[in-house]
Amino acid sequence: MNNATLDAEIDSLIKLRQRVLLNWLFILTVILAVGGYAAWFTGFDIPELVTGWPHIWNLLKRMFPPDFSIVPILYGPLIETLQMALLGTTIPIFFAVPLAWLTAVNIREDHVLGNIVRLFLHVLRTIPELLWAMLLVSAVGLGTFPGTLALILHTTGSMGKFFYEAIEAIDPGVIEAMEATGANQFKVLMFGIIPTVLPIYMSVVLLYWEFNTRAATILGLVGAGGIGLTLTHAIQAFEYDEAVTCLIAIVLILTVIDRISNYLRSKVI
Amino acid sequence: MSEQIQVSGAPIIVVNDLTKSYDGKINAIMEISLSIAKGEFTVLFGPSGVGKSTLLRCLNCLVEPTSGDVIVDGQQVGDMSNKELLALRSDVGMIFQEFNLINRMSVLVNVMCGRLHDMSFFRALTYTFSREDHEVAIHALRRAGLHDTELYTRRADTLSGGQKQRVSIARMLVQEPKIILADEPVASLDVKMQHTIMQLVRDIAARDGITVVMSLHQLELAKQYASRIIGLSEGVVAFDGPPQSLSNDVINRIFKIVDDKGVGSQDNESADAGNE
Repeated sequence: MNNATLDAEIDSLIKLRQRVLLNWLFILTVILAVGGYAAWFTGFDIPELVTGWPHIWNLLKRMFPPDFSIVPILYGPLIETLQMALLGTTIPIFFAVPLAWLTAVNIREDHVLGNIVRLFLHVLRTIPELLWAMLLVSAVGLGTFPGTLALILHTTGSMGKFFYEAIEAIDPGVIEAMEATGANQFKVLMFGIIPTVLPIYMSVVLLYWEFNTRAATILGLVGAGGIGLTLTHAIQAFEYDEAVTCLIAIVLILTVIDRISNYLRSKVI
Repeated sequence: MSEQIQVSGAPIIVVNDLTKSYDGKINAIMEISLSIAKGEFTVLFGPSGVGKSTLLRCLNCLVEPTSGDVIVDGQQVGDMSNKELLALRSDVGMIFQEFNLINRMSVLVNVMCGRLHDMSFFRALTYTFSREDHEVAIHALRRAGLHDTELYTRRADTLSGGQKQRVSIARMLVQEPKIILADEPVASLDVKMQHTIMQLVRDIAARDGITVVMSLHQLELAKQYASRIIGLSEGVVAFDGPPQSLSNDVINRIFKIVDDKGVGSQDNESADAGNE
């Protein structure tokens, strides 16, 4: 290679590097601009945090010490919350498993039905459970029923996605081997697919058990029952020492659920 | 068409003008015609990406041909109902390069999966196999060279490569196949195990009078074990005859060692990869 071409080569390399740097600069500017705009728009104001300090201090003083005398009346709502989460996790399994099987592209040739199911799951999960709860509270009234239903709807959408993605990630060789023995679709499902996806499914179910316990605690905010409702009442009545007791109970129960779930997960995988 | 070597009756596999193209443009195999007699040990020979796997899978319709006929055991594969196709597949055993066992299940269950076709709905739903299924499976495992009963209850993914291929051979044996399709069955094994498995397949086929169609890319193995070699090059038959008439000239042509460096073979390679 002579000098002229070498120089040209180096020049083009330098230019390329400059272009890469410029791109990064551009991306950084865009992020900063968007972030700044968002801060201005939402009224995010750090000085406010400092000037508002007396109010925060006041709030904290009213929160402590927590009022533990209400603990006996928390048992009911807590158990309600746990039951909502349990139903909101187990019932969706019965919907999500067949729906996932209908839409997994590697075992489905009917793309029309598959796409309809996929869209349905997508709608179910893009609407947050809190929004579902709000809608359902206005539809069927206050209580744990709309809360549970909200969890079921959102969880079916999310679990369905995890479930069909697990099927799509299966080694196609195993399915092919089952088909080559003359097994029909049902037997391919039982022997080629389920044994492989089962541990993933169990792990997803445990994840949603945790997730739904957490979600169930706040569904009370919109009147959908459970410990969240007690918490909302306490805050609305300015009984902050009671609210803190609720929060402590929520943290404790979530910690316990997390531990149990982790233990179970380590057993299934 | 060239002459068959061990003709022991009517051809069991007939292929007429078989073409398979992927995405409507890449031809994996082009207008292949051949017939295979009962009891033949046929090796489809050639480098990877010439359509060996595709041709093999067209025989039990795991890959649906774009055009052309496949006639297996007197039946037109293309005209079959789903039920008939499943019945045909249960008569055609298949083994694979990557063994394709259900990793999380026991060796015994993997072998009994060879009987899935005849299993009742209720048994499949409850994962229960009959006593006869167990007996047949154990017999097949012994025939495949796995005598250690301790292995039978182990999970399939704890086995070595050679053991896995033995299990998949046992799975195929419980189907009591008339034809064995083998897709590069020894490509993932060490040289010693390659011969062990080749001998095993050959002995089983010879003893039960099973026709074997095997894709292979190793010349030595093909020459040693095949009764007939079909050399494929870019989706067409480049050679068809007994191993001893496979000259160096032909081999060079198949592997494109002398002529152009496979301009068109690149396309076929990606087509084959999409299939595997």
